[in-house]
Amino acid sequence: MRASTLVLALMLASVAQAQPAADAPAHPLFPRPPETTRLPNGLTVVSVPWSTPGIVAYYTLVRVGSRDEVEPGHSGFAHLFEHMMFRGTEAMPGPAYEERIQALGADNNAYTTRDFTLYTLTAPSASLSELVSIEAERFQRLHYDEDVFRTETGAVQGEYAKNASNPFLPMWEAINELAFTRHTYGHTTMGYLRDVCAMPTRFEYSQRFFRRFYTPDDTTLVVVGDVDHAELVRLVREAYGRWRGRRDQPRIPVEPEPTQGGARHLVWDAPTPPRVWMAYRGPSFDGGHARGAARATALRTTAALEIAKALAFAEPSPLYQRLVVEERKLLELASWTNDFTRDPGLFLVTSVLAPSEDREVASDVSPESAGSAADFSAVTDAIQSELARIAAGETPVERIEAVRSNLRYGMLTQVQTPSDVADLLANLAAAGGSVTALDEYLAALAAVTPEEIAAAARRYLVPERRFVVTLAERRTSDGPRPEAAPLCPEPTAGGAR
Amino acid sequence: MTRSNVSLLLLALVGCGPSLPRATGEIPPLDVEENVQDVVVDTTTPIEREDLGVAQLVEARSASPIVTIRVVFDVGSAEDPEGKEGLARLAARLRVEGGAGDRSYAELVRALYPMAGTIEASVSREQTAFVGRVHRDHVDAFYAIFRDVLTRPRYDERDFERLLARAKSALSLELRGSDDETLGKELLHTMLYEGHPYGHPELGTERGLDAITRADVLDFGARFHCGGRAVVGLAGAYPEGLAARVMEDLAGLDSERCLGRRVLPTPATPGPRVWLADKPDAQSVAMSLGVPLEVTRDHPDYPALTLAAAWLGAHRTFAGYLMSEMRGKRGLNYGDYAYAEHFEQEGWTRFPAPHTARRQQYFSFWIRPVPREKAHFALRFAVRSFREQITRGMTQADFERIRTFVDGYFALYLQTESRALGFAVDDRFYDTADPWLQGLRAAWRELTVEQVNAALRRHVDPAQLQIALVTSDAAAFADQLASETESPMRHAGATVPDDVRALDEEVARYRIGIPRERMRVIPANELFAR
Repeated sequence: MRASTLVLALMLASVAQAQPAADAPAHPLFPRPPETTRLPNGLTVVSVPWSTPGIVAYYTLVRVGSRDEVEPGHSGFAHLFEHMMFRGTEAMPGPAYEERIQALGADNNAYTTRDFTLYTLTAPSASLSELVSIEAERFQRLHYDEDVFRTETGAVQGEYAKNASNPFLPMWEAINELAFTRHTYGHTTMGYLRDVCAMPTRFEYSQRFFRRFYTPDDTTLVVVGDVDHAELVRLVREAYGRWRGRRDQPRIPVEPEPTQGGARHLVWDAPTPPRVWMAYRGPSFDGGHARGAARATALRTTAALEIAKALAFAEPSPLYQRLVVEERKLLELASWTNDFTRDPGLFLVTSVLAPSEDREVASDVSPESAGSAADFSAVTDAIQSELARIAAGETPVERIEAVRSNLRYGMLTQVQTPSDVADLLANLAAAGGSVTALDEYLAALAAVTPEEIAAAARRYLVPERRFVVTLAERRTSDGPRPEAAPLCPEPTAGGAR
Repeated sequence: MTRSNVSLLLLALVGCGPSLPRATGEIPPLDVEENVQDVVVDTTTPIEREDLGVAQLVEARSASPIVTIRVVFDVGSAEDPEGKEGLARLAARLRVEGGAGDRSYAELVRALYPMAGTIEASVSREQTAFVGRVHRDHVDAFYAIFRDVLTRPRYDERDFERLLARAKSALSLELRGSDDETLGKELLHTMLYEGHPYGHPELGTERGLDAITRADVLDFGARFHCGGRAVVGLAGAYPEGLAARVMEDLAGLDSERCLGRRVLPTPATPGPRVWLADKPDAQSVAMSLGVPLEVTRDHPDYPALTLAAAWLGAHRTFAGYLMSEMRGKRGLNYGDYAYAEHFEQEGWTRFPAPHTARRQQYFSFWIRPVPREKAHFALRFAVRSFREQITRGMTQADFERIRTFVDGYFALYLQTESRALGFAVDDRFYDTADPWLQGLRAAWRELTVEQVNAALRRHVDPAQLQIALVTSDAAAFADQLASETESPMRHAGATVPDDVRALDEEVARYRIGIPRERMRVIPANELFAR
């Protein structure tokens, strides 16, 4: 059985992780609901008590991502900047910062998405005040010189290089480019290679980037584990209280509604089974931080699409069983679920076709029969037909309830550690503007009706909103393979020996 | 981001044979004629086997609503019959991705779905694990299915064909065509364990997958998925009596056909070599370096080597020397790490996955892809570090710093009961007195820097260094390496600290010292053919 991929697929649980204290309101996932405090400078502090073997997760959510990369030539910058955040301050230079982190035996990392950057620090609970001190220092007073900046761009190029041997990279680039003609979701968070190669020249821009986006008013601390909220707030107030700044609000281009979809074929110069990805332009997570009834409706639509996704593509689904198990046309069929976005994003379906039986595996050029246009359209047609059945309201109610139950228990068995809890809350807060988005979304999942699920499929999962990227090994008709080229064509300025 | 797996000591001795040569600190002169020949595999010798034991039980009952059942057999791809490589993995996958008991695969999936129960299988060189997870609300219904998977697999022909096709694609297409880093690691295994049962990927070989039949899978299951080779682990709020039921059900798997583990040969010592997988589309060079190691978790020097590996390159942290120097100061690539035993990362964490235990280990560096134009320098840096850092050892200050770090960091491995249970199950493989991490942390407190450095020199022999590379234009790169041409470091920044520059200059001229005759270029498409 495949591992469930429902990292973020939320549910409506009535079974608590532990028994709630008698005086506290019950929460579907946590022993007690998250407590939130907002400091006068706008910094939000959230804590969740969680039973652990003396561990605390200290996560810092900064709502800046590749969505904010509006200037041409600067794709990938939010991610590069995430790297820079590990380079220390004047009072705590990079090596001193590393020394303090290592002295705690902490697990220290970060990741960047379209909408946000999340700094993930997990350490012994006893070190909470030290964590506050370290993080307050770097988030307010990050400092690095141009040499350090240029060196770190090499690590980002290396990150691109490690991803480059996987066809996921060009497919993800292409499908975003197809689906978004104006909005910044059109480029990946990693960024275009040409922009990654130009990064060493962007030192000045990087310094402005810190001032523009690393501000308290759009930053949330999510702290989970053996933690007392009042004590946490006291520590944070002391260490972060003088942090000032208002987040820059770049004008994010509005993407027009799609009318005719799109398709692109990619050629791969190494062995691969043929692959098809389909992305439907969906809604934003919460209607663009809508309020009142509009917000509730938007969240129900998001929940409806999440259920539709499982109905169509989860392993027990009729489509999966037919294409993968019975007919064996596909080796894999999946959909990615953790893609809630602030602006209208993508409902993504990925599949891997079974290579044709007569494929000459060891040859440089595969036969014309592998991954033909007809093979690809048979897959897209089958997927579209299944979505049409869901849109027509033909899904038996018991299947919908099975999905609800799966989402509920999936969540309960996947949220295990303080880090799991912090990550979940941060993701929902990033998409929905505050940690209360989690509870709102759980309520929407519990309440969404079969008719709302069909209606969401009719509205969003249609050919006019569909973008298809196919990939297959190079065939004779694709022309000769280009010569291998260096990752970045020529060294950028600087170049000390 | 950013930073983005022995039982009795007696049996272990039987398996290990003579000691590996000790490190001398210098690379001995090579007798190319003698050393360049391939290892010859003697297939006529009957396979010696250990006696079967009895099933063991590890219980970790708690209040957690998440119930985990781990059933781990001491069998892995090292038991693949010659010419049927990939059989162990396929036999495990067919249990969890095929029908069982009265249910077809479709029925089984439908039954598990509403409870979000999962049954997963993993196969390493010496272990096969079946791991079930479910919420306590559904333990009884779930266990009925889990028990069928273990004791009543259907091995349907159609499920077999489906999974065989997927394994072929995973080996011939995915491994060769979409993951240079894993390809590099498997190539290193092929070099370290040439002619040895560890020498092929768990996925198998093309020849092996072409030859395997459904009858082979049935036979393998009957011979190796036996109660006498199993350790059972249970964690969470499972009901009274579940442990006894599992043990009773497993006892039903024993039969006269069950076999003990094969006795492993000693890995060959062919001298230093470079093998290059030639992958025409590669834009960068994936690197894995290593030597066989006779130290496993039950060896007194294991804690010292674990500490030393963390100092050289703790997995995906900035605590290690390689990461600090190669990425931090030079921006050569995304990451640079060192390992005192085989390591697999668990999912999206940076922590080790359980059930990769083995009777023979290796010491290795993982150098993540380096752009081709910087690759010669980077490889020189890695090889120099392997030889000189190991010879020189760590300072008292390094020792204090890294010991403090690992004492806290390794404790984070135990965050989930399921993973902690997995490690406890693996303790039975090594038959160690203390729980793995507890034993490590206690031993670290007693160690001195001199002991760590001595252990490193005693067990890690740079004269046997095997270097696996995945690159385009591999013959030209091999020529470049053999030429020992200077490869200057080109920093992106305008100024370079004096100490960094001094080391750069030394590394740029450092002799890897492996002649072209000891470098082999293999088209990536031909790897793991047989």
